Amino acid sequence: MLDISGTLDKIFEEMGINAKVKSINSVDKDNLMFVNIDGEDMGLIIGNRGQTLNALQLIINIIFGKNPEERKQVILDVDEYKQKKRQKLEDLAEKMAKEAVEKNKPVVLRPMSSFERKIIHLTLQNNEAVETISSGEEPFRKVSIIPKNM
Amino acid sequence: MKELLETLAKALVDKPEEVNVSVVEGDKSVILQLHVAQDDIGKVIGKQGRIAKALRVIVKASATKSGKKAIVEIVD
Repeated sequence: MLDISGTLDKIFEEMGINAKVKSINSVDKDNLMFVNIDGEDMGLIIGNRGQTLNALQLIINIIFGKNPEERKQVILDVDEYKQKKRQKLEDLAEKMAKEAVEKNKPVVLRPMSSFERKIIHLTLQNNEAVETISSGEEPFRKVSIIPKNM
Repeated sequence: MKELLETLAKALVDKPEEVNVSVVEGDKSVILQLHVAQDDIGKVIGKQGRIAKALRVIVKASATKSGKKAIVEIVD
């Protein structure tokens, strides 16, 4: 097991930022790992439109993506925001898949980030009744949920 | 800030022993020059400069606390 929380805590310390890794929750079925951060300087850690958190997340994923055996996507999270969002997106995916099947026509979701789209695809990948396709250009890419027997 | 950039760069490259950061200190800004092994330059720049951009954002956030402007240069 690689020491993600040790590495992040060291980075926060060297940034001179009051922040610590509070907990790590793995969602094994989606191969995701939510690293929850807490402390006084959350505004600085998140940054303008989340850019600092995203930058840290990118670097951490590259560092820990080096050995492919236990490769999980690391999601840096504050106040379990993204983890709650994941749950909401899962519920949305199920609900919209049902609607697509009932009406027998595709349902197009709102534009989403790659993380959000990934959750939708993963939730419905084993659903026999529908398939999911992303279309459009960033940052307006959308997922369509399409009934298979249309 | 120097230590921060060194830590991040060392974790990214294949030859951490060749990572070196030199600092040029000004009144309002700090210039951090990142030196890495020739083969490792791609590792700190990334596709379309994604990694270089992320490094700059992180160093900038750290500089906000100290009240100075930080500039990261990748030197080859």
